[in-house]
Amino acid sequence: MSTPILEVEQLAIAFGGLKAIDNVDLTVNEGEIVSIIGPNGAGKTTFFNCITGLLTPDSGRIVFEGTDIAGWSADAVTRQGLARTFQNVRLFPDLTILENVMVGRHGRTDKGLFSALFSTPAFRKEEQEIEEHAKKVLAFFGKRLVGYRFHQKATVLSYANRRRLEIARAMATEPRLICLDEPVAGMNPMETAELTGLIQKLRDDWGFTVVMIEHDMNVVGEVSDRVVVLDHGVKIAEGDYEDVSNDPNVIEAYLGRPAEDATHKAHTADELLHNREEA
Amino acid sequence: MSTTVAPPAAPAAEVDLGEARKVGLNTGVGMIIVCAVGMALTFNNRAIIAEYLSMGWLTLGLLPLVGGWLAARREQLEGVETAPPGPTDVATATLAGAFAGGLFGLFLIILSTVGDSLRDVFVQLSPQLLDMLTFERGLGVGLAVAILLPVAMAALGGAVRVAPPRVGRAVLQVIVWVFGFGVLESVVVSIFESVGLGAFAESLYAQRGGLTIVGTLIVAAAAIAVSTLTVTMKRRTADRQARGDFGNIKAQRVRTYGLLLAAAIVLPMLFDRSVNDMLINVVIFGIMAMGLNIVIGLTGMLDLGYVAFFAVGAYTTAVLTAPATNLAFSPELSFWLALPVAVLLAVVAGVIIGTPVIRLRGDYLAIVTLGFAAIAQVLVLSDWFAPVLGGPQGVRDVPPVPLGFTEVSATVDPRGFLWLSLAFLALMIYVAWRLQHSRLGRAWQAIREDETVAEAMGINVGAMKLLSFCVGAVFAALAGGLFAAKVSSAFPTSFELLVSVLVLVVVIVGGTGYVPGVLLGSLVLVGVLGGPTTQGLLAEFAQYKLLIYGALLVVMMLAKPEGLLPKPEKSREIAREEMDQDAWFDKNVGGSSDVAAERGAAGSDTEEQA
Repeated sequence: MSTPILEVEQLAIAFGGLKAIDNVDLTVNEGEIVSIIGPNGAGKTTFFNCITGLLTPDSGRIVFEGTDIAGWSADAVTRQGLARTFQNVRLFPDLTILENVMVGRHGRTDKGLFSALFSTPAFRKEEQEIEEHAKKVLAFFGKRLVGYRFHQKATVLSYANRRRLEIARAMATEPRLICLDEPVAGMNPMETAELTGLIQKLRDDWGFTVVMIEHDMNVVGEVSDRVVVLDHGVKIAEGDYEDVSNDPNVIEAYLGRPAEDATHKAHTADELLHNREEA
Repeated sequence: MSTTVAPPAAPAAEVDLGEARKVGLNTGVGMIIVCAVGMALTFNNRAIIAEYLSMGWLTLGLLPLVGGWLAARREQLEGVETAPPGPTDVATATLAGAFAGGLFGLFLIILSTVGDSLRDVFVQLSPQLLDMLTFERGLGVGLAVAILLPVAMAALGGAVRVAPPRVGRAVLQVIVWVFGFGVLESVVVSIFESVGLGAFAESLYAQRGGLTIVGTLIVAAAAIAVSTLTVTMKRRTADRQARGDFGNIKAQRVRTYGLLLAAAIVLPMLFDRSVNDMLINVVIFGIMAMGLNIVIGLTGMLDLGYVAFFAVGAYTTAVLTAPATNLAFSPELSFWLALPVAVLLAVVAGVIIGTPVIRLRGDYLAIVTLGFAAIAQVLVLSDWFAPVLGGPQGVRDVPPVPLGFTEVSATVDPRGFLWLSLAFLALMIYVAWRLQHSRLGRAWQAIREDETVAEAMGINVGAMKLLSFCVGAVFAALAGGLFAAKVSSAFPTSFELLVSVLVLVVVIVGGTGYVPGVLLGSLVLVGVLGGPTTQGLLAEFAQYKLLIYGALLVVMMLAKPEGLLPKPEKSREIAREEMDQDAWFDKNVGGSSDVAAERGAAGSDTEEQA
């Protein structure tokens, strides 16, 4: 279980003068569930965007199963086996629920223009395979996204179901590692508890390694093998949930310094880092 | 919920003054515009019902009819009790008509008093218009008509809205049928003649054009009969489906295709030359619109340079087939050899134009392709290409299409050429349909919906966009080849930017992303109004073609942005699958116990209004 599937070394990206990710190292082992937490603006989603190819990092290596994928385009990264969901739920609203998931199969299928035009047996077989796989993935979420729902537009779904559909779409790409960006955001406690269980099943039953960004500490505490804390683009802590949640740096990043230190309060990211190094 | 809250009593319906004023004044302005641009007077020469109703008055009357229909429409909010449609809605519509009539009456007064001085600016405000509006009987009569006509028509529109669907439909059908039979007199007569009922058709019409009163009554009766029959049949089908009996969907499909095939073979035999000629244009622009539909409707790339590929197809076919003496190069190939070359060249052009622009999104793509359209025309007209393409003289004498031992020429035998075009249309419908329902079609749609996410799903966005661009180019080139063979020439004027715009309007008005919708759009716009360089069924429209195109585009965007015939939701299949849902679930996943537990959770889950 301890072979690394993803090794990120000295990853850095800056937007103008803002160092959004500042030399972050991260190793994810196969079969792990790793949570990335941190206050708003810490660079968590930017980190995701870098490793999934939506942003090209300024420097650093992203080694996924032995291949350096830094700077690859997003579609190549996905075909390599690294899928993701989006924080602000980005479905294909005008496609049906089934089609949304079938799109996820695109990178795993290869029949082109002419097979489609002549509707060759191989093409029909592949289309059938795409549909069956999509239905299987949707059934992962119980009864909510199957049956008559297959042919409804994605826009009819409730918020929680849209999040589920996003996960299903990412699952359809047959990833080895799946990146979930705030999977339970906006869900009620019952839905959250259920999805927490499903995240574990993603690993146990489907064999995916999971990296997720999450603000809900109950979820983080329950499923994570390891927790990584980012603040202002810098990794400030790493370890199991207990250790990290008692780490003074982490507490400070979330809550600020105690009142007696107010006079020394940092004004810039650099100062904050400086203070932290002193502490 | 432990306590049930009694639903609030339905509020009594009230006459909606604001709505009536809004719709009424807009309608009035519309009527004034119809007069001020000269449409009313031009159309007045065409009789719909001899001596009683001209097309000009019909146009003026239809506006308040639609206005009344709109004014009587009340928004039905889900969960909010609203009063059922009733007489108050008709009152709202009538009030709207009164506003329209008031405004139009005011216009008439202005026209009759200071019309002469207004004519410096509004050249169409002529004394003839005043004569038409007053029936040459003075302002009093004119005012009475100007005010009462909108009131009556709006009331009728409101009544149609409020009346039970059976009655409402029948009234609308009568209006459409009478209008259609009145306007398309020559077509109707020629159809009846070809089935040996020419005398009957003649008897419907008066000597100097327009339906006779008896003819009108016969047409109206036929309309009511057909309308009642279709409503009854629809209800029966709905009843059967409600009982869960969907019939044999496959057999129904075969029947539909069989009917379409029969219509494609038989109808050209019934039509006369001019109608067949017009239908060839419909088919050619339909093929083109289907291609643009792939680029815009499926992939979401707003390509305004589409006409360039049409020109590539037409010029390639023309140059390769025509025995032109003024050109440096004229191999006089057969049409069937030239067409594949044209298609191939279009793909090459697609790659050349597409490669730099596929990175662009939305508006930027539109602007760049607009530039390409302009470049294409400049190139065709340039001295540089003149030895090959003929410059402003174009390419003439494109030979007819050889077919076995005969030749098909649109000028000699429009019927044969129409069949040829229809065969191409069928082929391209098949191509469009197959592509749309493949992983390529899904990838295109995903790119349209969200390019970034499509990329994150493993779709090579650049390659797929380029493919879409080239497939669209193939459709346009094929249409271009047919067009060159049909008009037996290729002139630079046939490939103006306007063509791109009009084909775009066809796609949008018809129904973006849905092939039958696009073809309907082509039939309505190219067939009835006329294509970019071709005339439609109604010669009177030629002058106002662009105005009507523009107005139609605006109205469609406001009232029905999904188009005349939008892609239907799979309602029938959904209903069926809803019934099968449990069966599917039990068969496929119901076995495992933890899923069963999840189903329990799902049952108490709160669904589902987003």
